[in-house]
Amino acid sequence: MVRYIIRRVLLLVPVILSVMVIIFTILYFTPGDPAQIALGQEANPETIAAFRAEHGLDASFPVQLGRYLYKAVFEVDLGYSYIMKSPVSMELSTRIPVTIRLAFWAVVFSTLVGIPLGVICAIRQYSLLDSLTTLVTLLGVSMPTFWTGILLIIAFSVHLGWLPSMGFETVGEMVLPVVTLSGATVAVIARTTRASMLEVIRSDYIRTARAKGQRESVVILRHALPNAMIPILTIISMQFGMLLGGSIVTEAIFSISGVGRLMLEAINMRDYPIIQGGVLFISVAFCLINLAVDILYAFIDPRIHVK
Amino acid sequence: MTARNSMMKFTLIRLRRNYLAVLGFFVLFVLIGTAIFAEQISPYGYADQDYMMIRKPPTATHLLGTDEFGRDVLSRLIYGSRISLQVGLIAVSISLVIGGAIGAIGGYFGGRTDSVLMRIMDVQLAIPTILLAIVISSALGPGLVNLMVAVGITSIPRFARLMRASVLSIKGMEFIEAARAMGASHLRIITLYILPNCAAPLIVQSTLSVANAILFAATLSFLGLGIQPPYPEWGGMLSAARPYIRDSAYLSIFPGLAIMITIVALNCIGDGLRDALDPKQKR
Repeated sequence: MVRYIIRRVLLLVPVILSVMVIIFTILYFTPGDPAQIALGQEANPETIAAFRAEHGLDASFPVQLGRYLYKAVFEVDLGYSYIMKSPVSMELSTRIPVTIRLAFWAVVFSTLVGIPLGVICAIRQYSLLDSLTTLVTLLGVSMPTFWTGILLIIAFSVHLGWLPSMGFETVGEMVLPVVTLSGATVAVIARTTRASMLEVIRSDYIRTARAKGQRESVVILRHALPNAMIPILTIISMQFGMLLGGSIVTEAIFSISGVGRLMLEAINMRDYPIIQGGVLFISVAFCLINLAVDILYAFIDPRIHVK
Repeated sequence: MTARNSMMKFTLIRLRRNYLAVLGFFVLFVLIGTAIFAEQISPYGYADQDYMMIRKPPTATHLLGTDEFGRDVLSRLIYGSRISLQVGLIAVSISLVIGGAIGAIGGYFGGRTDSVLMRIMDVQLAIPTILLAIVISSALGPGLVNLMVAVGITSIPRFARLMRASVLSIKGMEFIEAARAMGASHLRIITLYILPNCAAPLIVQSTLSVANAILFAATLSFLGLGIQPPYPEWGGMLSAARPYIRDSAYLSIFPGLAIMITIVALNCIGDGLRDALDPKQKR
């Protein structure tokens, strides 16, 4: 088990390095001179040349790439923001907790709503609740995140005045962003849970459990649900990436100072070090979550352990 | 030929029983019609401004109201369907062709070619798709073609993996061996023998990907990275409506509805096709 984990972690290293190379390359060949944008249109050629020298922008592409990778790997230095003049790692460190908090509560919320919803639909297949949930989840996966957010703001902030439409500090402020971000995920988790439970409920050992007189709640929760969990876990881990990406949109709508908003501002200002740092953080987080879920499988499903 | 026709016939019969899928096809045909005949249908041009009619709620002359420049929202939505459908179709064609080729080559030839191609796909999968789309489209700059490319690139790995899995399951079969024994070239075997047999999952994935591409395109435009005003992209319209969320909420509701209806239709078609093409899956 330990060897499996170590091997998987080591396999992440080339993937993350490649992500860094790809993002660096895309941004390097992006039209628009970051020096010009950072210094403004009126900047004279000398200041621009000085800026380029200061940030190493005058070197050739392989040299710049090599320098970036070397610093990131061996000195844990992601460079300096062109605009804010502060280290990227510092800018990120203030924003990361906010984004993680948003994504975490979104996962918690969508799991707590999605799984019970799916289970109930599977138990009461073809009931009114089941049809209703099917319809709502179909709408849920089809609504753009930003539109969900806007509708929630119109309903709960503008008309009812119950919840604020900005910020992410108090519990009240957290409700709308978390629900917005979770919308599609709740739907996906509920659908997967329903399908997976329906399959398990039909299996022989469930019939056996019922035949021996086991209470229905125990049959569902202790016998059926754990065996239905593998596809659900897979979908939750896949959704985590969507949530990290979706948080960019949610942060933009609710003016939340997370990594996503930082990156959007950086994209507008061609502040490449910040964009690179942001993508790196989100990709690393995404890979680690997938890894954690793979390890979790081994605990839930002993058959994987044997392999 | 007969076998093929009858398979299509059975698929169609099964599809017709699925009311949601039929509804989805109906909505899609209406949308395609709207996009083709936008000039004839729309009551106004998408950029016609009327300064006497700034942000007027829906009335008989402007069925869905007017925006902050006095432009007719309905007309803009009608023209916007062109952009969304184009982006959806062309972006998915890009990912289908490139991803399909990568998956077919990897699965067919196996070995080192396969592992190199799949490692590249793994790296791309390590970046959440919407994030990659944002970075690529900010690098390419705004515009319709760039938007299609940015959205198209993001779903290449999904098609590559799907194609590879299908090819792997088919290439060991006897009729492939027979074709090879008859002296068929690799290209001929892949395109004429393998491809038709893995069409079903590719069709389903394509339909669902069109929905996803339209959603991405709207998101990018909403963030200011896709299509620039005055061109009426649905996501861009929502973005432009944000300052008026308090006084003119309808401006934020109709474009979102248009997106949602399109995506619902495509999702229904995709789900219906999956059930119809693979009856074993349906219990």
